[in-house]
Amino acid sequence: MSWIKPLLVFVYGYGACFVTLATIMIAILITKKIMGWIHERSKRKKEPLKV
Amino acid sequence: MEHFSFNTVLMKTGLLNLTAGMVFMWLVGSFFIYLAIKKNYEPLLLLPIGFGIFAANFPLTGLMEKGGLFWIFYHYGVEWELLPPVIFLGVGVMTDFGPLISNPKLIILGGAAQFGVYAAFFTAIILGFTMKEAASIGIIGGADGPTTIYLTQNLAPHLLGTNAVAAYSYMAMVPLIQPPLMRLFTSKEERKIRMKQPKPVSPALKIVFPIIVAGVGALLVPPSGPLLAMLMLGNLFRESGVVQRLSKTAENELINITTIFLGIAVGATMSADRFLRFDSIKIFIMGLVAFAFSTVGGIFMARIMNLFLADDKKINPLIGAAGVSAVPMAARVAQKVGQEENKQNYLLMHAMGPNVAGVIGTLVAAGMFMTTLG
Repeated sequence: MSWIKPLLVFVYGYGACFVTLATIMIAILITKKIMGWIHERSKRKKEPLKV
Repeated sequence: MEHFSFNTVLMKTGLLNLTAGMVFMWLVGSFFIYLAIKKNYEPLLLLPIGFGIFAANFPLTGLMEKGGLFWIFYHYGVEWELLPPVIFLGVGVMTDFGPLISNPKLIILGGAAQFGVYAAFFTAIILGFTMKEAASIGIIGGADGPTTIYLTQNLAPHLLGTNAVAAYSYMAMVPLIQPPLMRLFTSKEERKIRMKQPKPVSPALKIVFPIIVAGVGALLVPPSGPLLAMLMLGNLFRESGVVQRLSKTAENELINITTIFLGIAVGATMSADRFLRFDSIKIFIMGLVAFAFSTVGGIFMARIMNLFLADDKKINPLIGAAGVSAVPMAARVAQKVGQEENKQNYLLMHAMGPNVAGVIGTLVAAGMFMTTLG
């Protein structure tokens, strides 16, 4: 039996585990940044104007 | 009067139709019932599975013949791929992804711990299984019952009962399998590493998380969609806080009812002619291989990550072992082994990160098996 197909299944499969989870990780980090930025912005808007 | 003769009636009882294989399967079923009741090994699943094995191995009951009661559970629940996703809905409600969102880099450990899935996949091929069978056996290493059932039903339905029982049996034995490997592949100093307590996560981020995961997963690995979507829908129920009635139903009544049907249906597929083969022994051995390699895969990834992390951000490699899913038992094992070295070391919340990431990782691995072999 050829070992090429099982090897490809391994490379694609194990690779996809990392790629998918890393994409989720990056998406979480970006969302965290955006939410932090929105939070800061809304806080600044609420602060009274200092003269 | 012919119809009422003693012989005719006797022929219609199970007594004259019994086989030695059936009697042996009663013992197998009773063994799982024993494990569930006496040893408390995954009782919610092993008890109905054990009884399903027992009851389905009586002659002439017709339970697993077309139209029979257990056949209906199996056909509409498992063959139609309905019950595993519904179980995942409840799992989603019960899962807190907070520790993972708080420290997103731990998600990589959940991917690394899928190594055992592929180690068992190769071992199964070497032992003579087809690639589809090997994939369904390998996924046992993901330590995730519904995913094992879902993938096996898709790729190798004739192995369903054996694979499911192997998966649930080994999940119950995580506290026995993992600690020796954790001690073997980590140094005393590594096991003593203390990690900073995870920061609290905003409710808004917890709400966005299931939407992100469902979207990314469905986009990259579409066959994992049904399970991942239901898992994340359940989690959205939980985190949104506006559908408490649905959350309560999904994590209580619905998952309980589904577990009963799934357990019986899976157990009932284990007839003597399917189970009493040398292949079943091989599958149980490979399940152990899968669990062991998954544990080691997670530990080694944590050690590799430590090479690139600053001293105050180092990861305790024990939490890598929790990447095998088996929520929350694998995380508890990491906590226990960590406290053997340092009583003040609390790893549970950190280990929950890779632990829940492992569930997503296993779904991706299963989805990729379906993409490449389905």
